[in-house]
Amino acid sequence: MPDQTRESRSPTTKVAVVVGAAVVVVAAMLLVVLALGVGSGTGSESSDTPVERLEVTIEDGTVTPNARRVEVTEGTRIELTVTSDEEDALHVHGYDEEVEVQPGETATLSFIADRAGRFEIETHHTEQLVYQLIVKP
Amino acid sequence: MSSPTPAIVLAHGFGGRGDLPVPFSLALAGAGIAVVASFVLAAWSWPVPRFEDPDGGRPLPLRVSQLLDASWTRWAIRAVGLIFAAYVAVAAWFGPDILTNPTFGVVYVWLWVGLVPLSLLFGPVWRLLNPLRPVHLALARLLRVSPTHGLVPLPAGLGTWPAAVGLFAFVWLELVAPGAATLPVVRLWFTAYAVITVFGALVFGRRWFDCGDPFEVYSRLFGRLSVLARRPSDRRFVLRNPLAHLAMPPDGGYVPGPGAVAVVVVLLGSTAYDGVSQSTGWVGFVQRAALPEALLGTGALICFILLAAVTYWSATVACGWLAPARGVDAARRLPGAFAGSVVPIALGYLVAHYFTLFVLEGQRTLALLSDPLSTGADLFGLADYEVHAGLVNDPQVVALVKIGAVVVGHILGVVAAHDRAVALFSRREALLGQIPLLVVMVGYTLGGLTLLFAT
Repeated sequence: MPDQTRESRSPTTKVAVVVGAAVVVVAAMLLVVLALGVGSGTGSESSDTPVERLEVTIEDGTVTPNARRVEVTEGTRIELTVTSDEEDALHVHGYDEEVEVQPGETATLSFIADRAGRFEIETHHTEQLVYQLIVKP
Repeated sequence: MSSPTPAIVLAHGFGGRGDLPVPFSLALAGAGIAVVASFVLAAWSWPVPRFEDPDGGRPLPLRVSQLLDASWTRWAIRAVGLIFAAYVAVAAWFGPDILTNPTFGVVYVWLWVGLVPLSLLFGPVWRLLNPLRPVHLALARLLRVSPTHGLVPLPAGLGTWPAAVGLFAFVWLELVAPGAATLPVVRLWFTAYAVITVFGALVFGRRWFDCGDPFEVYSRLFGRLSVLARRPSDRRFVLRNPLAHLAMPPDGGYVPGPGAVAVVVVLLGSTAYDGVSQSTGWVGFVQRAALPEALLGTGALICFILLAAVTYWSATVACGWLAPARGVDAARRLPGAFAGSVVPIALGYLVAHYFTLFVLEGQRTLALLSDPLSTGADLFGLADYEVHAGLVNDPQVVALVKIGAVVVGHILGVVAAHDRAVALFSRREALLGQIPLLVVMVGYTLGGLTLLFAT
Protein backbone atom coordinates (compact mmCIF):
# COMPACT_ATOMS: atom_id res chain seq x y z
CA MET A 1 0.00 0.00 0.00
CA PRO A 2 2.63 2.61 0.87
CA ASP A 3 4.57 1.52 -2.20
CA GLN A 4 1.56 2.05 -4.42
CA THR A 5 1.09 5.57 -3.05
CA ARG A 6 4.71 6.31 -3.73
CA GLU A 7 4.43 4.91 -7.20
CA SER A 8 1.47 7.08 -8.12
CA ARG A 9 2.96 10.19 -6.60
CA SER A 10 6.44 9.88 -7.95
CA PRO A 11 5.98 11.87 -11.21
CA THR A 12 4.47 14.78 -9.27
CA THR A 13 7.28 14.54 -6.78
CA LYS A 14 9.76 14.55 -9.64
CA VAL A 15 8.25 17.70 -11.08
CA ALA A 16 8.18 19.31 -7.67
CA VAL A 17 11.80 18.34 -7.02
CA VAL A 18 12.97 19.66 -10.38
CA VAL A 19 11.05 22.91 -10.14
CA GLY A 20 12.07 23.30 -6.52
CA ALA A 21 15.71 22.64 -7.33
CA ALA A 22 15.60 25.11 -10.21
CA VAL A 23 14.10 27.77 -7.96
CA VAL A 24 16.69 27.10 -5.26
CA VAL A 25 19.51 27.32 -7.81
CA VAL A 26 18.07 30.57 -9.19
CA ALA A 27 17.76 32.03 -5.73
CA ALA A 28 21.26 30.93 -4.72
CA MET A 29 22.92 32.33 -7.84
CA LEU A 30 21.02 35.58 -7.62
CA LEU A 31 21.95 35.94 -3.95
CA VAL A 32 25.63 35.43 -4.78
CA VAL A 33 25.48 38.04 -7.53
CA LEU A 34 23.57 40.39 -5.26
CA ALA A 35 26.14 39.96 -2.50
CA LEU A 36 28.98 40.67 -4.94
CA GLY A 37 27.13 43.71 -6.24
CA VAL A 38 26.51 45.11 -2.77
CA GLY A 39 30.10 44.46 -1.79
CA SER A 40 31.53 46.36 -4.74
CA GLY A 41 28.99 49.16 -4.45
CA THR A 42 29.96 50.41 -1.01
CA GLY A 43 33.40 51.73 -1.81
CA SER A 44 35.01 54.75 -0.21
CA GLU A 45 33.66 58.01 -1.50
CA SER A 46 36.00 60.78 -2.52
CA SER A 47 35.25 64.25 -1.24
CA ASP A 48 35.33 66.03 -4.61
CA THR A 49 32.39 65.48 -6.94
CA PRO A 50 33.20 63.76 -10.23
CA VAL A 51 32.19 65.75 -13.29
CA GLU A 52 30.90 64.54 -16.66
CA ARG A 53 31.01 67.17 -19.41
CA LEU A 54 28.55 66.61 -22.24
CA GLU A 55 28.36 68.67 -25.39
CA VAL A 56 25.42 69.11 -27.72
CA THR A 57 25.54 70.80 -31.12
CA ILE A 58 22.49 71.70 -33.17
CA GLU A 59 23.48 72.67 -36.71
CA ASP A 60 21.25 72.80 -39.81
CA GLY A 61 18.59 70.84 -37.96
CA THR A 62 21.03 68.03 -37.16
CA VAL A 63 21.59 67.29 -33.52
CA THR A 64 24.94 65.86 -32.43
CA PRO A 65 25.44 63.44 -30.78
CA ASN A 66 22.77 61.09 -31.99
CA ALA A 67 21.30 59.00 -29.13
CA ARG A 68 24.56 58.31 -27.31
CA ARG A 69 24.63 56.35 -24.08
CA VAL A 70 26.63 57.84 -21.21
CA GLU A 71 27.23 56.00 -17.95
CA VAL A 72 28.01 57.84 -14.73
CA THR A 73 27.84 56.94 -11.06
CA GLU A 74 25.35 58.50 -8.70
CA GLY A 75 26.53 61.87 -7.41
CA THR A 76 28.31 62.92 -10.62
CA ARG A 77 27.91 66.53 -11.66
CA ILE A 78 26.59 66.70 -15.22
CA GLU A 79 27.66 69.77 -17.18
CA LEU A 80 25.77 70.15 -20.43
CA THR A 81 26.94 72.66 -23.04
CA VAL A 82 24.56 73.38 -25.91
CA THR A 83 25.59 75.21 -29.07
CA SER A 84 22.87 75.87 -31.61
CA ASP A 85 22.13 77.82 -34.78
CA GLU A 86 18.42 77.84 -33.99
CA GLU A 87 16.24 78.43 -30.99
CA ASP A 88 15.74 75.21 -29.10
CA ALA A 89 15.62 73.75 -25.62
CA LEU A 90 17.21 70.73 -23.99
CA HIS A 91 15.24 68.69 -21.51
CA VAL A 92 16.53 66.14 -19.00
CA HIS A 93 13.74 63.68 -18.21
CA GLY A 94 13.26 62.42 -14.69
CA TYR A 95 15.33 65.27 -13.28
CA ASP A 96 13.03 67.71 -15.07
CA GLU A 97 15.93 70.03 -15.87
CA GLU A 98 15.65 72.27 -18.87
CA VAL A 99 17.86 74.79 -20.66
CA GLU A 100 16.96 77.06 -23.55
CA VAL A 101 19.42 78.08 -26.21
CA GLN A 102 19.29 81.06 -28.61
CA PRO A 103 20.58 81.00 -32.22
CA GLY A 104 24.35 81.32 -32.40
CA GLU A 105 24.76 81.12 -28.66
CA THR A 106 25.98 78.59 -26.15
CA ALA A 107 23.97 77.65 -23.11
CA THR A 108 24.98 75.50 -20.16
CA LEU A 109 23.10 73.38 -17.68
CA SER A 110 24.60 71.83 -14.61
CA PHE A 111 23.00 69.44 -12.18
CA ILE A 112 24.02 66.61 -9.89
CA ALA A 113 22.87 63.16 -11.00
CA ASP A 114 21.75 62.10 -7.54
CA ARG A 115 19.15 59.50 -8.53
CA ALA A 116 19.94 56.16 -10.12
CA GLY A 117 18.17 55.15 -13.30
CA ARG A 118 18.01 55.71 -17.01
CA PHE A 119 17.27 59.26 -18.12
CA GLU A 120 16.78 60.68 -21.57
CA ILE A 121 18.17 64.03 -22.62
CA GLU A 122 16.20 65.34 -25.56
CA THR A 123 15.93 68.47 -27.66
CA HIS A 124 12.55 70.12 -27.62
CA HIS A 125 11.87 71.56 -31.08
CA THR A 126 13.82 69.02 -33.07
CA GLU A 127 12.62 66.25 -30.72
CA GLN A 128 15.80 64.21 -30.85
CA LEU A 129 17.28 61.93 -28.23
CA VAL A 130 20.78 63.30 -27.66
CA TYR A 131 22.05 61.34 -24.68
CA GLN A 132 20.75 58.43 -22.71
CA LEU A 133 22.12 59.03 -19.26
CA ILE A 134 22.69 55.89 -17.21
CA VAL A 135 23.16 56.83 -13.55
CA LYS A 136 24.50 53.82 -11.65
CA PRO A 137 24.23 53.55 -7.88
CA MET B 1 15.02 73.91 -11.01
CA SER B 2 12.61 75.16 -13.64
CA SER B 3 9.47 73.08 -13.73
CA PRO B 4 8.78 71.88 -17.24
CA THR B 5 5.80 73.26 -19.08
CA PRO B 6 3.04 70.74 -19.79
CA ALA B 7 3.67 71.04 -23.54
CA ILE B 8 7.21 69.74 -23.11
CA VAL B 9 6.17 66.82 -20.95
CA LEU B 10 3.49 66.00 -23.46
CA ALA B 11 5.89 65.79 -26.36
CA HIS B 12 7.91 63.13 -24.65
CA GLY B 13 5.53 60.40 -23.77
CA PHE B 14 4.99 58.74 -20.48
CA GLY B 15 7.14 58.48 -17.35
CA GLY B 16 10.41 60.29 -16.68
CA ARG B 17 12.84 57.77 -15.32
CA GLY B 18 13.67 54.50 -16.99
CA ASP B 19 15.06 51.37 -15.39
CA LEU B 20 18.79 50.77 -15.33
CA PRO B 21 20.02 48.01 -17.62
CA VAL B 22 20.27 44.72 -15.78
CA PRO B 23 23.89 43.87 -14.86
CA PHE B 24 25.49 41.57 -17.40
CA SER B 25 26.54 39.05 -14.74
CA LEU B 26 22.95 38.74 -13.57
CA ALA B 27 21.60 38.29 -17.11
CA LEU B 28 24.27 35.65 -17.73
CA ALA B 29 23.37 33.82 -14.53
CA GLY B 30 19.70 33.90 -15.56
CA ALA B 31 20.53 32.58 -19.02
CA GLY B 32 22.60 29.75 -17.55
CA ILE B 33 19.84 28.73 -15.20
CA ALA B 34 17.24 28.82 -17.98
CA VAL B 35 19.32 26.64 -20.30
CA VAL B 36 20.30 24.11 -17.63
CA ALA B 37 16.77 23.93 -16.21
CA SER B 38 15.32 23.35 -19.69
CA PHE B 39 17.43 20.34 -20.43
CA VAL B 40 17.19 18.90 -16.93
CA LEU B 41 13.41 19.14 -17.20
CA ALA B 42 13.41 17.62 -20.69
CA ALA B 43 15.56 14.73 -19.58
CA TRP B 44 13.63 14.21 -16.36
CA SER B 45 10.52 13.22 -18.20
CA TRP B 46 7.30 12.24 -16.55
CA PRO B 47 5.37 9.58 -18.47
CA VAL B 48 1.76 10.74 -18.13
CA PRO B 49 0.38 14.27 -18.26
CA ARG B 50 0.25 15.68 -14.76
CA PHE B 51 -1.89 18.72 -15.38
CA GLU B 52 -4.60 17.52 -17.74
CA ASP B 53 -7.24 16.60 -15.20
CA PRO B 54 -10.23 18.83 -15.91
CA ASP B 55 -12.07 18.01 -12.70
CA GLY B 56 -9.11 18.38 -10.36
CA GLY B 57 -8.64 21.17 -7.87
CA ARG B 58 -10.00 21.98 -4.47
CA PRO B 59 -13.60 23.27 -4.68
CA LEU B 60 -14.37 26.50 -2.89
CA PRO B 61 -17.08 26.17 -0.23
CA LEU B 62 -20.44 26.04 -1.98
CA ARG B 63 -21.55 29.27 -0.29
CA VAL B 64 -18.54 31.19 -1.60
CA SER B 65 -19.13 29.79 -5.06
CA GLN B 66 -22.80 30.75 -4.92
CA LEU B 67 -21.95 34.22 -3.62
CA LEU B 68 -19.52 34.77 -6.51
CA ASP B 69 -22.11 33.57 -8.99
CA ALA B 70 -25.04 35.49 -7.47
CA SER B 71 -26.55 37.79 -10.06
CA TRP B 72 -26.32 40.84 -7.79
CA THR B 73 -22.60 40.21 -7.22
CA ARG B 74 -22.01 40.06 -10.94
CA TRP B 75 -24.12 43.13 -11.60
CA ALA B 76 -22.30 45.00 -8.83
CA ILE B 77 -18.95 44.22 -10.52
CA ARG B 78 -20.38 45.21 -13.93
CA ALA B 79 -21.59 48.48 -12.39
CA VAL B 80 -18.09 49.16 -11.04
CA GLY B 81 -16.64 48.64 -14.53
CA LEU B 82 -19.28 50.80 -16.17
CA ILE B 83 -19.08 53.68 -13.68
CA PHE B 84 -15.29 53.71 -13.73
CA ALA B 85 -15.21 53.71 -17.55
CA ALA B 86 -17.71 56.59 -17.63
CA TYR B 87 -15.60 58.50 -15.10
CA VAL B 88 -12.45 58.09 -17.20
CA ALA B 89 -14.38 58.98 -20.37
CA VAL B 90 -15.31 62.30 -18.76
CA ALA B 91 -11.61 62.96 -18.07
CA ALA B 92 -10.70 61.91 -21.62
CA TRP B 93 -13.28 64.14 -23.28
CA PHE B 94 -13.45 67.13 -20.95
CA GLY B 95 -10.07 67.17 -19.23
CA PRO B 96 -7.07 69.10 -20.58
CA ASP B 97 -4.65 67.35 -22.94
CA ILE B 98 -1.72 67.17 -20.55
CA LEU B 99 0.08 64.17 -19.08
CA THR B 100 -1.49 64.76 -15.68
CA ASN B 101 -4.82 63.79 -17.22
CA PRO B 102 -5.51 60.39 -15.60
CA THR B 103 -6.69 58.90 -18.91
CA PHE B 104 -3.14 57.93 -19.96
CA GLY B 105 -2.36 56.19 -16.69
CA VAL B 106 -5.67 54.35 -16.72
CA VAL B 107 -5.23 53.16 -20.31
CA TYR B 108 -1.53 52.31 -20.43
CA VAL B 109 -0.90 51.32 -16.82
CA TRP B 110 -4.12 50.24 -15.11
CA LEU B 111 -5.79 48.61 -18.08
CA TRP B 112 -2.89 47.20 -20.11
CA VAL B 113 -0.53 46.32 -17.26
CA GLY B 114 -2.96 46.05 -14.35
CA LEU B 115 -5.22 43.62 -16.12
CA VAL B 116 -2.40 41.05 -15.98
CA PRO B 117 -2.10 40.74 -12.15
CA LEU B 118 -5.88 41.09 -11.82
CA SER B 119 -6.42 38.19 -14.22
CA LEU B 120 -3.67 36.16 -12.56
CA LEU B 121 -5.50 36.53 -9.25
CA PHE B 122 -9.12 36.18 -10.31
CA GLY B 123 -9.18 34.67 -13.79
CA PRO B 124 -10.80 36.29 -16.82
CA VAL B 125 -12.15 39.32 -14.92
CA TRP B 126 -12.48 41.59 -17.93
CA ARG B 127 -15.52 39.54 -18.95
CA LEU B 128 -17.26 41.03 -15.93
CA LEU B 129 -15.65 44.46 -15.79
CA ASN B 130 -15.91 45.16 -19.54
CA PRO B 131 -18.12 48.27 -19.77
CA LEU B 132 -19.03 47.42 -23.35
CA ARG B 133 -20.97 44.30 -22.34
CA PRO B 134 -23.71 46.20 -20.45
CA VAL B 135 -23.72 48.79 -23.24
CA HIS B 136 -24.24 46.02 -25.78
CA LEU B 137 -27.00 44.46 -23.67
CA ALA B 138 -28.87 47.78 -23.41
CA LEU B 139 -28.48 48.49 -27.14
CA ALA B 140 -29.58 44.98 -28.09
CA ARG B 141 -32.72 45.37 -25.97
CA LEU B 142 -33.35 48.76 -27.50
CA LEU B 143 -32.93 47.50 -31.06
CA ARG B 144 -34.79 44.27 -30.31
CA VAL B 145 -31.83 42.15 -31.35
CA SER B 146 -31.06 38.95 -29.45
CA PRO B 147 -28.07 39.75 -27.20
CA THR B 148 -27.03 36.10 -27.29
CA HIS B 149 -27.46 35.23 -30.96
CA GLY B 150 -27.25 38.60 -32.68
CA LEU B 151 -28.29 38.67 -36.32
CA VAL B 152 -26.02 36.10 -37.94
CA PRO B 153 -24.04 33.18 -36.50
CA LEU B 154 -20.38 33.77 -35.71
CA PRO B 155 -18.16 32.27 -38.46
CA ALA B 156 -16.65 29.10 -37.05
CA GLY B 157 -13.12 29.54 -38.39
CA LEU B 158 -12.72 33.00 -36.90
CA GLY B 159 -11.45 31.96 -33.47
CA THR B 160 -9.61 34.73 -31.67
CA TRP B 161 -8.23 36.28 -34.88
CA PRO B 162 -10.28 39.50 -34.44
CA ALA B 163 -8.85 39.90 -30.94
CA ALA B 164 -5.32 39.28 -32.24
CA VAL B 165 -5.86 42.13 -34.70
CA GLY B 166 -7.24 44.28 -31.87
CA LEU B 167 -4.25 43.47 -29.68
CA PHE B 168 -1.93 44.44 -32.49
CA ALA B 169 -3.83 47.71 -32.84
CA PHE B 170 -3.40 48.39 -29.12
CA VAL B 171 0.33 47.61 -28.95
CA TRP B 172 0.75 49.76 -32.06
CA LEU B 173 -1.06 52.60 -30.27
CA GLU B 174 1.09 52.17 -27.17
CA LEU B 175 4.49 51.67 -28.79
CA VAL B 176 4.39 53.28 -32.24
CA ALA B 177 1.50 55.66 -32.77
CA PRO B 178 2.53 59.32 -33.05
CA GLY B 179 0.85 61.17 -30.22
CA ALA B 180 0.08 58.03 -28.21
CA ALA B 181 0.18 60.27 -25.14
CA THR B 182 -2.24 62.85 -26.50
CA LEU B 183 -5.97 62.73 -25.84
CA PRO B 184 -7.28 62.95 -29.44
CA VAL B 185 -5.31 59.85 -30.44
CA VAL B 186 -6.38 57.86 -27.36
CA ARG B 187 -10.01 59.00 -27.83
CA LEU B 188 -9.97 58.02 -31.50
CA TRP B 189 -8.55 54.57 -30.74
CA PHE B 190 -11.03 53.78 -27.97
CA THR B 191 -13.98 55.14 -29.93
CA ALA B 192 -13.09 52.89 -32.87
CA TYR B 193 -12.56 49.95 -30.51
CA ALA B 194 -15.90 50.50 -28.75
CA VAL B 195 -17.86 50.94 -31.97
CA ILE B 196 -16.33 47.85 -33.63
CA THR B 197 -16.75 45.71 -30.51
CA VAL B 198 -20.35 46.69 -29.77
CA PHE B 199 -21.31 46.51 -33.45
CA GLY B 200 -19.70 43.08 -33.72
CA ALA B 201 -21.60 41.90 -30.66
CA LEU B 202 -24.90 43.20 -32.06
CA VAL B 203 -24.28 41.36 -35.33
CA PHE B 204 -22.80 38.10 -34.00
CA GLY B 205 -24.20 38.05 -30.48
CA ARG B 206 -22.26 38.37 -27.25
CA ARG B 207 -19.88 35.55 -28.18
CA TRP B 208 -18.16 38.26 -30.20
CA PHE B 209 -16.70 39.59 -26.95
CA ASP B 210 -15.01 36.22 -26.36
CA CYS B 211 -13.23 36.27 -29.69
CA GLY B 212 -13.20 39.90 -30.80
CA ASP B 213 -12.54 42.05 -27.74
CA PRO B 214 -8.73 42.24 -27.35
CA PHE B 215 -8.86 43.02 -23.64
CA GLU B 216 -11.15 40.07 -22.91
CA VAL B 217 -8.85 37.70 -24.77
CA TYR B 218 -5.82 39.25 -23.06
CA SER B 219 -7.44 38.87 -19.64
CA ARG B 220 -8.52 35.31 -20.40
CA LEU B 221 -5.03 34.40 -21.59
CA PHE B 222 -3.39 35.35 -18.29
CA GLY B 223 -6.48 34.24 -16.37
CA ARG B 224 -5.50 30.73 -17.44
CA LEU B 225 -2.56 31.02 -15.06
CA SER B 226 -4.84 31.85 -12.16
CA VAL B 227 -5.25 29.66 -9.11
CA LEU B 228 -8.97 30.35 -9.29
CA ALA B 229 -10.71 28.31 -11.97
CA ARG B 230 -14.10 26.95 -12.89
CA ARG B 231 -14.59 23.20 -13.05
CA PRO B 232 -15.96 22.47 -16.53
CA SER B 233 -18.32 19.74 -15.33
CA ASP B 234 -20.42 21.84 -12.95
CA ARG B 235 -19.00 25.38 -13.41
CA ARG B 236 -18.10 25.41 -9.72
CA PHE B 237 -15.16 27.54 -8.56
CA VAL B 238 -12.08 25.55 -7.61
CA LEU B 239 -8.57 26.43 -6.49
CA ARG B 240 -5.99 24.62 -8.53
CA ASN B 241 -2.41 24.49 -9.72
CA PRO B 242 -2.08 27.32 -12.27
CA LEU B 243 -0.34 24.98 -14.71
CA ALA B 244 -3.29 22.61 -14.47
CA HIS B 245 -5.59 25.53 -15.14
CA LEU B 246 -3.46 26.42 -18.16
CA ALA B 247 -3.78 22.90 -19.52
CA MET B 248 -7.50 22.70 -18.81
CA PRO B 249 -9.65 21.80 -21.82
CA PRO B 250 -11.46 24.78 -23.28
CA ASP B 251 -14.53 25.75 -21.31
CA GLY B 252 -17.51 27.76 -22.47
CA GLY B 253 -15.87 30.93 -23.60
CA TYR B 254 -12.42 29.81 -24.59
CA VAL B 255 -11.94 29.38 -28.30
CA PRO B 256 -8.69 27.55 -29.00
CA GLY B 257 -7.28 26.85 -32.41
CA PRO B 258 -7.71 29.69 -34.87
CA GLY B 259 -6.06 32.83 -33.61
CA ALA B 260 -4.69 31.39 -30.36
CA VAL B 261 -1.16 31.40 -31.76
CA ALA B 262 -1.66 34.87 -33.27
CA VAL B 263 -2.63 36.28 -29.87
CA VAL B 264 0.44 34.82 -28.17
CA VAL B 265 2.93 35.90 -30.85
CA VAL B 266 1.53 39.45 -30.93
CA LEU B 267 2.28 39.67 -27.20
CA LEU B 268 5.74 38.11 -27.51
CA GLY B 269 6.77 40.13 -30.56
CA SER B 270 5.49 43.45 -29.27
CA THR B 271 7.27 43.07 -25.94
CA ALA B 272 10.52 42.36 -27.79
CA TYR B 273 9.96 45.42 -29.97
CA ASP B 274 9.29 47.48 -26.83
CA GLY B 275 12.73 46.53 -25.52
CA VAL B 276 14.57 47.10 -28.80
CA SER B 277 12.85 50.42 -29.53
CA GLN B 278 14.26 51.85 -26.29
CA SER B 279 17.85 51.08 -27.20
CA THR B 280 20.07 53.97 -28.24
CA GLY B 281 21.04 52.00 -31.35
CA TRP B 282 17.47 51.88 -32.62
CA VAL B 283 16.64 55.46 -31.63
CA GLY B 284 19.86 56.70 -33.27
CA PHE B 285 19.04 54.81 -36.46
CA VAL B 286 15.49 56.16 -36.60
CA GLN B 287 16.63 59.73 -35.96
CA ARG B 288 19.06 59.65 -38.89
CA ALA B 289 16.81 57.66 -41.22
CA ALA B 290 15.05 59.32 -44.14
CA LEU B 291 11.78 57.52 -43.46
CA PRO B 292 9.28 58.72 -40.85
CA GLU B 293 9.61 57.29 -37.36
CA ALA B 294 6.06 55.88 -37.30
CA LEU B 295 6.64 53.95 -40.52
CA LEU B 296 9.91 52.42 -39.29
CA GLY B 297 8.32 51.62 -35.92
CA THR B 298 5.33 49.93 -37.55
CA GLY B 299 7.63 47.93 -39.81
CA ALA B 300 9.83 46.84 -36.93
CA LEU B 301 6.85 45.93 -34.75
CA ILE B 302 5.44 43.75 -37.53
CA CYS B 303 8.86 42.17 -38.11
CA PHE B 304 9.21 41.21 -34.44
CA ILE B 305 5.72 39.71 -34.38
CA LEU B 306 6.44 37.79 -37.59
CA LEU B 307 9.74 36.59 -36.12
CA ALA B 308 7.92 35.26 -33.06
CA ALA B 309 5.26 33.70 -35.31
CA VAL B 310 7.69 32.01 -37.70
CA THR B 311 9.95 30.64 -34.97
CA TYR B 312 7.03 29.38 -32.88
CA TRP B 313 5.13 27.92 -35.83
CA SER B 314 8.12 26.16 -37.36
CA ALA B 315 9.19 24.79 -33.97
CA THR B 316 5.80 23.23 -33.28
CA VAL B 317 5.54 21.89 -36.82
CA ALA B 318 9.02 20.39 -36.41
CA CYS B 319 7.78 18.79 -33.19
CA GLY B 320 5.13 17.09 -35.30
CA TRP B 321 7.71 15.82 -37.80
CA LEU B 322 9.89 14.34 -35.09
CA ALA B 323 7.03 12.71 -33.25
CA PRO B 324 3.78 11.74 -34.93
CA ALA B 325 0.99 13.20 -32.83
CA ARG B 326 -2.02 11.23 -31.74
CA GLY B 327 -5.37 11.68 -33.42
CA VAL B 328 -6.62 12.64 -36.84
CA ASP B 329 -5.01 15.74 -38.36
CA ALA B 330 -3.15 16.21 -35.11
CA ALA B 331 0.02 17.67 -36.64
CA ARG B 332 -1.84 20.65 -38.03
CA ARG B 333 -3.28 21.40 -34.62
CA LEU B 334 0.12 21.34 -32.90
CA PRO B 335 0.85 25.11 -33.01
CA GLY B 336 -2.49 25.79 -31.31
CA ALA B 337 -2.08 22.90 -28.91
CA PHE B 338 1.19 24.26 -27.55
CA ALA B 339 0.12 27.93 -27.49
CA GLY B 340 -0.74 27.82 -23.78
CA SER B 341 2.80 26.83 -22.84
CA VAL B 342 4.17 30.10 -24.24
CA VAL B 343 1.85 32.13 -21.99
CA PRO B 344 4.17 31.94 -18.91
CA ILE B 345 7.06 33.15 -21.10
CA ALA B 346 5.01 36.10 -22.33
CA LEU B 347 4.05 36.78 -18.72
CA GLY B 348 7.70 36.79 -17.63
CA TYR B 349 8.54 39.36 -20.31
CA LEU B 350 5.60 41.55 -19.37
CA VAL B 351 6.59 41.52 -15.69
CA ALA B 352 10.19 42.37 -16.57
CA HIS B 353 9.18 45.24 -18.82
CA TYR B 354 6.34 46.80 -16.90
CA PHE B 355 6.50 46.13 -13.18
CA THR B 356 8.36 49.32 -12.20
CA LEU B 357 6.03 51.33 -14.43
CA PHE B 358 3.09 49.61 -12.79
CA VAL B 359 4.28 50.29 -9.24
CA LEU B 360 5.22 53.94 -9.82
CA GLU B 361 2.79 55.17 -12.46
CA GLY B 362 0.00 52.97 -11.15
CA GLN B 363 0.14 54.84 -7.85
CA ARG B 364 0.50 58.19 -9.56
CA THR B 365 -2.61 57.47 -11.62
CA LEU B 366 -4.51 56.88 -8.39
CA ALA B 367 -3.59 60.38 -7.23
CA LEU B 368 -4.39 61.89 -10.64
CA LEU B 369 -7.85 60.30 -10.67
CA SER B 370 -8.75 62.50 -7.72
CA ASP B 371 -8.55 65.52 -10.03
CA PRO B 372 -9.87 64.19 -13.35
CA LEU B 373 -10.24 67.55 -15.10
CA SER B 374 -7.05 69.16 -13.70
CA THR B 375 -9.12 71.83 -11.99
CA GLY B 376 -7.42 71.45 -8.63
CA ALA B 377 -10.26 69.27 -7.37
CA ASP B 378 -9.61 66.49 -4.88
CA LEU B 379 -12.63 64.22 -5.19
CA PHE B 380 -11.26 61.26 -3.23
CA GLY B 381 -8.76 63.07 -1.01
CA LEU B 382 -5.91 61.33 -2.82
CA ALA B 383 -4.57 64.26 -4.86
CA ASP B 384 -1.63 64.68 -2.48
CA TYR B 385 -0.93 60.95 -2.33
CA GLU B 386 2.81 60.39 -2.39
CA VAL B 387 4.06 57.60 -4.59
CA HIS B 388 5.68 54.86 -2.49
CA ALA B 389 8.60 53.67 -4.54
CA GLY B 390 9.64 51.11 -1.91
CA LEU B 391 11.74 48.30 -3.32
CA VAL B 392 11.43 49.68 -6.85
CA ASN B 393 13.91 52.34 -5.79
CA ASP B 394 16.60 49.70 -5.35
CA PRO B 395 18.16 48.91 -8.75
CA GLN B 396 19.42 45.54 -7.53
CA VAL B 397 15.99 44.40 -6.43
CA VAL B 398 14.55 45.63 -9.74
CA ALA B 399 17.18 43.70 -11.69
CA LEU B 400 16.54 40.56 -9.63
CA VAL B 401 12.79 40.75 -10.19
CA LYS B 402 13.27 41.22 -13.94
CA ILE B 403 15.67 38.33 -14.40
CA GLY B 404 13.69 36.20 -11.97
CA ALA B 405 10.44 36.83 -13.87
CA VAL B 406 11.95 35.87 -17.22
CA VAL B 407 13.65 32.74 -15.84
CA VAL B 408 10.66 31.54 -13.80
CA GLY B 409 8.34 32.22 -16.77
CA HIS B 410 10.66 30.17 -18.95
CA ILE B 411 10.78 27.24 -16.52
CA LEU B 412 6.98 27.20 -16.15
CA GLY B 413 6.68 27.35 -19.94
CA VAL B 414 9.00 24.37 -20.36
CA VAL B 415 7.10 22.38 -17.71
CA ALA B 416 3.77 23.18 -19.41
CA ALA B 417 5.18 22.30 -22.85
CA HIS B 418 6.56 19.01 -21.59
CA ASP B 419 3.20 18.11 -20.12
CA ARG B 420 1.50 18.93 -23.42
CA ALA B 421 4.07 16.85 -25.30
CA VAL B 422 3.39 13.85 -23.06
CA ALA B 423 -0.33 14.24 -23.74
CA LEU B 424 0.02 14.73 -27.50
CA PHE B 425 2.71 12.24 -28.39
CA SER B 426 3.29 8.65 -27.48
CA ARG B 427 5.58 8.29 -24.49
CA ARG B 428 8.65 7.24 -26.41
CA GLU B 429 8.41 10.13 -28.85
CA ALA B 430 7.39 12.84 -26.42
CA LEU B 431 11.00 13.47 -25.42
CA LEU B 432 12.12 13.93 -29.00
CA GLY B 433 8.97 15.77 -30.01
CA GLN B 434 9.40 18.61 -27.56
CA ILE B 435 13.02 19.43 -28.48
CA PRO B 436 12.35 22.01 -31.26
CA LEU B 437 9.93 23.95 -29.07
CA LEU B 438 12.40 23.76 -26.19
CA VAL B 439 15.16 25.21 -28.37
CA VAL B 440 12.91 28.07 -29.50
CA MET B 441 11.85 28.76 -25.91
CA VAL B 442 15.50 28.95 -24.87
CA GLY B 443 16.03 31.33 -27.79
CA TYR B 444 13.17 33.58 -26.67
CA THR B 445 14.51 33.67 -23.14
CA LEU B 446 18.09 34.41 -24.17
CA GLY B 447 16.78 37.16 -26.45
CA GLY B 448 14.66 38.61 -23.65
CA LEU B 449 17.60 38.56 -21.22
CA THR B 450 19.86 40.20 -23.81
CA LEU B 451 17.34 43.01 -24.19
CA LEU B 452 17.25 43.47 -20.44
CA PHE B 453 20.97 44.12 -20.13
CA ALA B 454 21.49 45.83 -23.49
CA THR B 455 18.72 48.41 -23.24
